Amino acid sequence: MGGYLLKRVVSLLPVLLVVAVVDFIIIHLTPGDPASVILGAQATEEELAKLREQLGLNLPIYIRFFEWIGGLLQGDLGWSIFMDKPVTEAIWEHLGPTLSLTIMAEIIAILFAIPLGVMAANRRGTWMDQTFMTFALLGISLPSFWIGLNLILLFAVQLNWLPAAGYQPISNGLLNHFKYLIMPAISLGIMQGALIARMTRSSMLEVLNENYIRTAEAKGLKMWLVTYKHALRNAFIPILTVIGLSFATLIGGAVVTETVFNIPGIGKLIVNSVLRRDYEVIQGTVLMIAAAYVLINLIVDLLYAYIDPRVRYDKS
Amino acid sequence: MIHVPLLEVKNLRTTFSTELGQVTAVDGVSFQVDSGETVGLVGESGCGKSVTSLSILRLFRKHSGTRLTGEIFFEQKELLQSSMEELQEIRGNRISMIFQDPMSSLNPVYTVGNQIAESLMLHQKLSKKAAQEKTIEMLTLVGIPSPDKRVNDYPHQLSGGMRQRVMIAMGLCCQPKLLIADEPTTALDVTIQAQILDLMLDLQKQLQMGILLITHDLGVVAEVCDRVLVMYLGQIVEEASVETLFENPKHPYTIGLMKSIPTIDGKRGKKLHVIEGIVPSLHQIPKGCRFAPRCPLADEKCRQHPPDLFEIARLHQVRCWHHERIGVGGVAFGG
Ligand SMILES: Nc1ncnc2c1ncn2[C@@H]1O[C@H](COP(=O)(O)OP(=O)(O)OP(=O)(O)O)[C@@H](O)[C@H]1O
Ligand SMILES: [Mg+2]
Repeated sequence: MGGYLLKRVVSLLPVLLVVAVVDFIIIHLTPGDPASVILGAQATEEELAKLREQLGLNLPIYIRFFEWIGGLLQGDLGWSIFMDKPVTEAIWEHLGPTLSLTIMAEIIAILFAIPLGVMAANRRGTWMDQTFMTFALLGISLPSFWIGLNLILLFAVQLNWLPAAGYQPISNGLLNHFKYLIMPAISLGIMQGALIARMTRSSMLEVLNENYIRTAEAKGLKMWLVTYKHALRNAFIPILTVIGLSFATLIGGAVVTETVFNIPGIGKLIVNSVLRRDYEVIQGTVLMIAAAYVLINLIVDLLYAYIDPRVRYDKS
Repeated sequence: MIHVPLLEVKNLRTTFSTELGQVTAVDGVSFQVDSGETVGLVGESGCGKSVTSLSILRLFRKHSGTRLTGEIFFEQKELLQSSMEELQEIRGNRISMIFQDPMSSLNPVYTVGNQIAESLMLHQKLSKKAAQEKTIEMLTLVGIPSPDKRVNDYPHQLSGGMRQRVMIAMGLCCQPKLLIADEPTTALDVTIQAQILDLMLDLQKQLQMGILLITHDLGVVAEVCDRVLVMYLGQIVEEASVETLFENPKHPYTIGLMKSIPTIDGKRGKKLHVIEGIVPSLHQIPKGCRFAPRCPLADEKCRQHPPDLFEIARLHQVRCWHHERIGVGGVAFGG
């Protein structure tokens, strides 16, 4: 197990390197000049040239690339020229809201999606099944910003129950924190929830036809034990895959949601840094998201073995 | 005192809805099983043996469009009308089942010990520890070597024969009054088959358990059964004591089955598909006698009119218009 883990982690490094290269190239292909963003429209040509010199922007691109990669290998994500601090620090400052938001969205999604998917499967073909699945389809098709705006209209503008936008860290009170995050988390989580619910249903439908489910029923087990102990665990591998993927996409989806709800998270940081042409911040953040993505996938892979004893990793 | 059988099935009909329409897999089946008695249920593949057994405990998925009619009395309680809670109290406890396919009938994500202990904790209210001990005891009983280790194995770590024994241990652990065993020994080789059957019969004596034994194997029937039901295309075509059935079979189908027993090399467990012709589909059930298209004695009457079960002697029933023409030994016709 330990050996397997090490192998998996090592094999992630080339993946991340490729991501880093692509990341760097795409960002440097984008037109725009950080110096003119920093100095504003009135800056003279000399001032701009001087600043570019200072920031190292006039160095050949390959030198800048190797300097950046060299830094990465030492755990240094680079320097924000606009905020004038290390990229790691900038990311760290924006990480909390995004983590809170995505975890909350995922929890909401899972909490609703799995029981609903299970119920739909158990009542296949009934009106309940059809209603749930229609809503799930809606949830997949509606864009999260549209859901977000409607939630704001209803709960903030009309009913005045929740703040329309903004963010409060946990340190200002858990309830306060939730009050600000609940609408963004719902609008972000709905689509993931819908995907998870549909996967839960189809996976459960397959498992419920298995002979061992009949064995469990023949033992006299109650319906909920048959469903949740015997069926769901067998149905869980595809569900877990979707959860893993959805968690990773949530981080991307957070960009839009954070903009709609004005949350100072990673998404906001990316958008602002793009506007400021703050290259190394964008590169660093994208790389960090990619790392989170592969890490989540690794965790999901490890969980497979926990759920299903037939999945073995130790084989060399 | 009136004799009350342990299990009494009356006019059971099981109908599935399929994409091609309704099919009646079991059509008007009636029989009884007494305490301490072993009743064999035989017939070719697809004749409705498993469906009959599943119907007794109503083991069909809800909302699947399966319809059950008739009456099933178990210890005088009607099972088709009883509530799910009442049924769950009986399942695995008073009536237990051993399923046909041991490879797919165990849950792959739980240890076999867990799956047996689950029944014990549910019905006998044993503690986890006591259930574990009883489980090991049961595994020993069904002849699983080093049971204290095997108890922690997952099904995929066991061979087919071992899994079948686990199924049997699971079926017997709560000491049921009625055991429904669907091909319990098909996956096993002959010596182990004999051991397992002996074990079932032993327990039967101890517990006065009734057994409904479903099998393809008339050899097994001859050895262990008291009475036999012969099924064809969803109906019982002959019912008799085991001696009568083997000495004096009256239905051409039964006779056909007997002929297809391989005897010379003593090999058993082969599927009985030696009777000429194929079993019609449930969607195209013959108008008259269901066996007529394959029957050497069939005439116009057979093709037009379905025969009832005739009681030709005490406890001997047969569904054939020509039963009188079939003599002792059942060899009134050639072929
Ligand atoms: N859920 C179902 N839906 C539709 N048809 C079914 C269903 N279950 C069984 N059948 C049909 O009912 C008939 C009887 O099946 P059953 O499994 O009882 O046969 P069997 O006598 O046990 O055969 P075998 O010896 O092969 O086990 C078959 O034609 C089968 O296709
Ligand atoms: Mg069967």
